[in-house]
Amino acid sequence: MQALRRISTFARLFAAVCVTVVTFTIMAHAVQTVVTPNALYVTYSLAAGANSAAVTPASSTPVLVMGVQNNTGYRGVGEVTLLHVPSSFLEWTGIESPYNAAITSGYSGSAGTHIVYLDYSHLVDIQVHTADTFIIHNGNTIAMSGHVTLVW
Amino acid sequence: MKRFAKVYRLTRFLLAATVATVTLAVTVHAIASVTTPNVAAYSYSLAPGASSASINPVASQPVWVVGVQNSLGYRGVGRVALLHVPSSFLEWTGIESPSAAAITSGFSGTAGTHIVYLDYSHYVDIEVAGTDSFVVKNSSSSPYTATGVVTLLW
Repeated sequence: MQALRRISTFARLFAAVCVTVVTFTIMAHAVQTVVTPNALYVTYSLAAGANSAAVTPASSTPVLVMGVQNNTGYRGVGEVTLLHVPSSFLEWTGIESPYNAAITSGYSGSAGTHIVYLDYSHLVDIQVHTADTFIIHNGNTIAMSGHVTLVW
Repeated sequence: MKRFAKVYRLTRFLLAATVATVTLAVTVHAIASVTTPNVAAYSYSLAPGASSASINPVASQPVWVVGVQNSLGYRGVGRVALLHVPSSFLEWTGIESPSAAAITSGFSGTAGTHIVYLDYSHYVDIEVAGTDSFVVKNSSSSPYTATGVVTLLW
């Protein structure tokens, strides 16, 4: 009889522990904190046909990538939100620079894949470099310069 | 012969200087450090037909402009990425607020040019105020006082 009581007590304790664990798990999903975002500023100045150094965005968190092209006659602005899946690919969705602003979206780990144009004539763009990085590419016949900002 | 050697040495020096310059220029491309972005938030409360004070975004840098409209029945949200070319124009690309969300893009330094709607009924928008600034405008046909917030991030 005493053994039965012990089993019953243990069962109740076990059930209580289970409820506590489930409760904490559910609560954990709701935990959110206000934090200061991070920013990474990349300045580029590229000769005709040149590429910037590779840029590695933070992984597994949404990253806002926006860039401008400042050369007279070619000025523009483009943006995407980007996901970096480590050792796999970059994925993005956003809007190309004017002129001809349109949705740009996709995913790739292959070098040279277009992500977003930064200039009015669509000659300077952000491209996939590797599964973990992107570059800025100047497809124009003259030097081009501007800024790219990452926020996450 | 000695003169020729001097010219030769000068040429080599010039070449080395060129290589150093190019190397440094390439290195500059790689300079990037993680820091805290800049944020500016503007609240507005506008009667029908009224405009906010002018807002001057930072120049020659990508600026994220996102705004919400909080008036009951007209709530909405819109955003653009924006380039401010000093004394010339603003250029932008982004998405209008619902209900008819669509791409908005262009460039202008002319006051009144539409940039992006912030409310559901497209009465309230961000408009070009001049070559260097924009305003939030509650159109004169609007049936309500528009209140909301516009945030700039760069």
